Amino acid sequence: MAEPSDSPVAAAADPVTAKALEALQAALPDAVVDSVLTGQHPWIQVRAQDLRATCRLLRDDPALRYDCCHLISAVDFPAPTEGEPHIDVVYHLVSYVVRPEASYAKRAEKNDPFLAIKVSLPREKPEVPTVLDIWIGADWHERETWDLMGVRFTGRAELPRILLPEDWPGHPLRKDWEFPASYHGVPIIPPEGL
Amino acid sequence: MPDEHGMSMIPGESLLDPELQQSVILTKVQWVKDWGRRHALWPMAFGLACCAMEMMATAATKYDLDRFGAGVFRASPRQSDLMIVAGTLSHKMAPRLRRLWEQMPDPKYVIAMGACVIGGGPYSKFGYHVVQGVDLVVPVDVYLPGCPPRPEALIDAIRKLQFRIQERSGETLPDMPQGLPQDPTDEDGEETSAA
Ligand code: SF4
Repeated sequence: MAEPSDSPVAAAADPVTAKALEALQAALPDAVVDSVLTGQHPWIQVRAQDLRATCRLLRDDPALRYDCCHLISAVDFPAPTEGEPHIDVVYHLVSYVVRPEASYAKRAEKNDPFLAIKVSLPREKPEVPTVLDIWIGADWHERETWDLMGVRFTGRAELPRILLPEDWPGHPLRKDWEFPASYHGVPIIPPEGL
Repeated sequence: MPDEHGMSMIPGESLLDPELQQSVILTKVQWVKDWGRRHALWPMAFGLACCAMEMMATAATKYDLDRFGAGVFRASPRQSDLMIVAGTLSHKMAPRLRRLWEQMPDPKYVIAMGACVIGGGPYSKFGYHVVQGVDLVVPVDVYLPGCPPRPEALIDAIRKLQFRIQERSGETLPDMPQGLPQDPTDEDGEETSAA
């Protein structure tokens, strides 16, 4: 990602995102842990127990109306420079009501960034409440995050894998995932062996 | 030795009545069977990723795979005898590929098309989901390298397979390359110098 100073629009905080942060701090004073509002990908980190309330507020606030959960991703930190090992789950939100611009390039041009909501989860037991009832489109993203990163989304009826076979060993995008010696009789040469 | 029509001449043939020679063709049953097989390879459409685009281009008008009798792509393994595995074979797909291969009637042939099916290709090292070579799952007759291979290369692979089929009946074909293939012309059709 480019340094914020490289971009002519990046230095200023995005006004809609700033409004979102204000609304969050007013409604849920303890929820916000950290935030960066500049750049093309501003983010707000909230506590995991406040995630659902945060999401509801962002979706329903008439000035914000984040009506689309564009993407859910996760980042693995097995040995962070500070703090405990953790996994961050990142929700990328878009408001097609307040800002109907659909293309990512156009959004960047007009400084209409996506908003990322982050939660940090303990690495041994990453569990976060589902947002499936808030954005129905979150369904496949939650399944994918479970499939590849092993983050449990609680409160939904079932959480099957989406891409890998049901009996696949582990969650391969974890940084400490080990290649199995073989899968269904097909041998696998791990990266060190090649 | 085949004559100019590719037909086998049986020793002792010349003892036949010359009139009979003009109305009767003597050949071996195995030769005729292989001749039929090699000119009617029905490929099974097994496009798994980007290489399949080149496979489709090979079958389309410009390259016209039908000229070699191999343009009848079937959607069912039971009607095909050649499996062109074109694309990235994932571990999830491997058991299905094996099962479809088992459903093909004998004799059956496999062309491994592209770097991915030969050895995992660009995913070989860190792609946890990619089988590092389709020959771990089914036996392969012709390996066709490239990422993706051009349609000309796929045609060449099919020709090689046809030679291979005919070789089994102990025959050499008039256009079969001897030893290493020698191409006297480069891509533009100009003679390349030997030096
Ligand atoms: S070999 Fe290259 S072109 Fe063919 S499927 Fe693999 S990545 Fe795609």
